[in-house]
Amino acid sequence: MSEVHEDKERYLVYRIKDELYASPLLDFKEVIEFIKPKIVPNMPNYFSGMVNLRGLIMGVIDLRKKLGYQENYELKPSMLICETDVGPLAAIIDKVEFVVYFSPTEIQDLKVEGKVDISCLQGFMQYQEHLISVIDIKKFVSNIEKSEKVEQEKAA
Amino acid sequence: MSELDDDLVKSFLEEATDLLSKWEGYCLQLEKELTPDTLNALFRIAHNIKGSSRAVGLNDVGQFIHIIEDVIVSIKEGRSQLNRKKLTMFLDAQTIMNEWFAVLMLESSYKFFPEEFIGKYFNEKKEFVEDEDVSLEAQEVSTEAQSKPLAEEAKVIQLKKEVKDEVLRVSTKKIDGLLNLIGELSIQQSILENCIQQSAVKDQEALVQSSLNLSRKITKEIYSMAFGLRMTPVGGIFQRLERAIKDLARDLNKDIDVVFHGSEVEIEKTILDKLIDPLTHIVRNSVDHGLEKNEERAGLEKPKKGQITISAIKQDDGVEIIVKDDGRGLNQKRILEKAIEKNLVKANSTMTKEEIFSLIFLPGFSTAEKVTNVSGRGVGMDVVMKTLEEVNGKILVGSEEGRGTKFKISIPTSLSIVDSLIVNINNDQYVIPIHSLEEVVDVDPVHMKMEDSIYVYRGKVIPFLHLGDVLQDTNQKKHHGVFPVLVTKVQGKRLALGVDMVLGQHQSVVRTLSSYFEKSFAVSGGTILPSGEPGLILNINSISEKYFKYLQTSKEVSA
Repeated sequence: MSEVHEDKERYLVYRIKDELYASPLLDFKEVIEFIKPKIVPNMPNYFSGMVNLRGLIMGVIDLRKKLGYQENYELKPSMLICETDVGPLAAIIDKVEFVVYFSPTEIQDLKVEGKVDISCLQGFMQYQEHLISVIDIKKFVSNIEKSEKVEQEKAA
Repeated sequence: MSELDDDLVKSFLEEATDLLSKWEGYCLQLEKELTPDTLNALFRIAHNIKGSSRAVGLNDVGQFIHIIEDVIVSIKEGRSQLNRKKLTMFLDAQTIMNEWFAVLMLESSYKFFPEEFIGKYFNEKKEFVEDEDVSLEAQEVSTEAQSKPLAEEAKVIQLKKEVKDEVLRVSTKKIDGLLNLIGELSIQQSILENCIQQSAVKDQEALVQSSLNLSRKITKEIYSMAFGLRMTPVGGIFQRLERAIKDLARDLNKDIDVVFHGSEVEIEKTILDKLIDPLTHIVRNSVDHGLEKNEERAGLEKPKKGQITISAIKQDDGVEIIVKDDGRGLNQKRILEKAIEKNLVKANSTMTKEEIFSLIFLPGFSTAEKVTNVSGRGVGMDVVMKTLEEVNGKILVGSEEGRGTKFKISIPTSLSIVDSLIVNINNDQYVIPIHSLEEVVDVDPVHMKMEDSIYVYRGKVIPFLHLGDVLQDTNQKKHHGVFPVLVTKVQGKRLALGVDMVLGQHQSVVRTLSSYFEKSFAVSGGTILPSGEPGLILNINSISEKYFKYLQTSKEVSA
């Protein structure tokens, strides 16, 4: 809008446990209240199931599980809806914090082995007192592996 | 040359493809009877294509059709006679242009001129070359020329797959009807709005109620009409089948009558497209193997001309397409012998007539005694069956020796709505298409044997699998008392599938699921359940196939 933000982009900052993550705001279609997903069989454990969002069936990725956080999740989490290459997906996070204007060039391109798959980690942004991991949300959520136990299941 | 306007070319091609199918129809009519009207109609099409192709800059097409047009004009003016060779040329020209246009559709800069075709029928001055009796040599050329475009066709089909958005031709009547309804709906809506604005809802309760009722009715109609937009009459493929029959009959020197019934019956376009290959295969089989030569028929007290009847009949749950010929019929004995020889069935097994006939759908079955270049195109009846299964179709065959063969194909009219059962498995609701099931039975655990892996079904043992074990980790044995079992049949083999409860029947509107759901092999689509929750449509075929494969490998391991 104003000149101040000319070279900057908007990022949505969200929280999981005590850590902050950010992704380009325009990667999200909307933020909705948590809807309890229905189970989809034979999918990896972080694939929580599917929900019916105004007639559209979409898969739900529990970002907290995918990022390797343990139990004791927020009781009232939020869902971020993003349109990925493989179709619409909802990502469960604990809470949406705020939107920041940030220049992509100021994102520190530091790749560390961590919870986020390195190819999806774009770097870190230093904003006020926070250190925020910037992730390529579309790429991260749409990377769904095949559930490893599918094959053996029917032996039972 | 100027830059071609892509959109313009595309709309020309759509129109031209439509015209070409009419062209085919007129040619087939001309074959029966030469009338000035039909000839004129043919001429108008040629002229039309010539004009518009040049207008959009496709000069090659214009030049080509001009040569054909000249021949039609010469017949019209009585300078030459319509004969078999000219008719074949017209039909060949249609085939070539169809392929040509299909490629142009994807690649409007495609440069091509059918030199080979021109060389076959025309001299250097582009004058039609007459020769009354078609010599054998010429016939050979014609089969060669036909086999070549086939390779091209394969390329085209492959290219076609990449085009995602499909263009449908819809009759204006349907669109008008739809617009009308939407108009009516908005009237009702404004009545409601008006009532609320005047805050007089109370006084006008009756009006509001009737307006609501009407809206509901209109919405329902809009829904079914919007569905109808995707429907096309089967008549469109009948013409192609007639062409296939006539072409082959000409090659084999057989005289065949083709009769159609119910060409106005409508099926969803995607399903109709899938039917073309299987039906073509079946009719070609009929022409090649089924119908006897004309001379042979005379000795059998049959009408000299063989007859193929193709009918489409609307049924409650879809459409039935019946292909019937009055040829020699299937030979039970030979089919059984072949199946035994190929190890598809055990020797001295007792089978009913129907069971024997259904052997022809097994992969690897072919009465190869007389593979001709006609029916030996590498597509067997098993492929026919597979293709039909893709659109939830079924095929049955009946035959009487010496009297003829009848194929009955049942297909749903639409893939967007399926009749299904809603079942409860591990406290979750799942949707199972009814067409994939043979029967639902209540089972007493007494009939379960071998640690619940076998179910005794009418004296026969069939493998049993609880769907709960497929869908989730659970492996508890929990058959307290009678429970429902769904019996399915995949590739001739039965499988019993246990569920916890059958909740009821439902017409499910199928939603295509995003591609990531493919990771779950058991699912073929999604739907919204009556409760508003999303539901999964289970793919019984793929579950059963996987299970049979699993049984197979575990058998090999233990052996």
